[in-house]
Amino acid sequence: MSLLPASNNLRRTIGIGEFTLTKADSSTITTHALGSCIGVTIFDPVARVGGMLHYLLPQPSRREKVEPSRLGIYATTGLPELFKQAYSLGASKNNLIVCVAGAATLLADTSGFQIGKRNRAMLRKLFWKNNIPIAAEETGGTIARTLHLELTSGVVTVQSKGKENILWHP
Amino acid sequence: MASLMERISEIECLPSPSSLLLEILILLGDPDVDLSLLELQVMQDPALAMLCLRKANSAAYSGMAEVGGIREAMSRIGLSGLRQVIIACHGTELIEDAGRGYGLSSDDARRGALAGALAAEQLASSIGADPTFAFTAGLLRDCGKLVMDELVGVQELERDMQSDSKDSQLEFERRHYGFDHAECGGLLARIWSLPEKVAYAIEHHHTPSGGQEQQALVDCVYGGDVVCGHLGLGVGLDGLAYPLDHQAMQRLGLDRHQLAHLIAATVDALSVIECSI
Repeated sequence: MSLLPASNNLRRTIGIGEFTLTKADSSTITTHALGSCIGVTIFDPVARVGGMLHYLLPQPSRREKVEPSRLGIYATTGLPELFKQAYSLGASKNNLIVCVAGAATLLADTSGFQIGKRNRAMLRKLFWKNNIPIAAEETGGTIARTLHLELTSGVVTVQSKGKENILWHP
Repeated sequence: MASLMERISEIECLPSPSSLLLEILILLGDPDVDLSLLELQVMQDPALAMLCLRKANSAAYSGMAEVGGIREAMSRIGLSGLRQVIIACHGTELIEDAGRGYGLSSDDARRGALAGALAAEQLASSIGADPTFAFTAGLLRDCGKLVMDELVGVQELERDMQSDSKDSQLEFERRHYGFDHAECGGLLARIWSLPEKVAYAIEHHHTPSGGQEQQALVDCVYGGDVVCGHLGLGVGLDGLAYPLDHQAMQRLGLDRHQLAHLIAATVDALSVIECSI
């Protein structure tokens, strides 16, 4: 994970299995290549804390001891860390606006694979247990997505199939 | 009416692999390759030779004596290291422009190609198939998108694919244009004089259970493509609209845990190779 210094008018990109947080920043955080992966944005407009996670898989295998540099790969390690870091920067749970995109599925994936669906199920389970509402969501289907969070306004947009949709705005 | 092969042959602006790259890739496919033959090939390309030496003397081999000769450098980095150097020099240049009509940037195409190659190589090692051919076919599996861009046109492809369709992408392409990018890729690979097994694997990388030849190699390249789909790498307007072939997944020994492991391992391998090149 990276804790970013505040900056102005910059576009920051996070890669697969990464997450980032920043405070009092006016840049835009972007993640590309959301296939069956899920991108989660969090934004506290009062504390002006924002961040994004791009995780690949619901959880590590039972035997895997997840190293700190790999926390963002899994929902069960990346999501708690994202929120923990946001709170340490002054974000408040009651103010957080949480948006979600991704979780696409290959055609005819009716078997036990269904990584996109399992990624989404794990996210909903963790959010339900911790009483975190999702403000806006665009998941499923067979399309790849790019997710943006504008840190000045909190606007979240999703690009897919050559079109850009506003997922959340104040 | 001209055959598809003839139409592809007539496209003037397609890239083509250097004969040097082809010869080296064929030599690398032989596990008992004579290093002196490889050395001769590598020596013909100063940039390649320099990268071999640089890699052999890099931090990854710290504590070892400095090497000054190409053969010594190749022995140290091994066939796998040499393959990575060749990719850095030449390999991805071929496919960087593939898929403009699919909404792919050069970087998308390059990363998708590399990730598919790395995943196919890992699968080949695990099921006893040839990792070098799996890597090469995985890398070039979407070269047919270069042909689609030319035969159909970038703007036409973009427009057609932005419409919502419930079809599989291959069916969509066959219905709209009479051919698909996998078929075009197999033909282009033959025009490029790539080894026949590589061309065959490229042709069947979305339909691994349709042919009986080179089954293990085809399955590995297919598996690499599935991994890329999940990672969203090399995925454009076509999205993940390719059916999951359960039989192929079974032949590869991939259950959901092993697929998850392969996906995570591919991200790690991609990160390493991107740092090294």
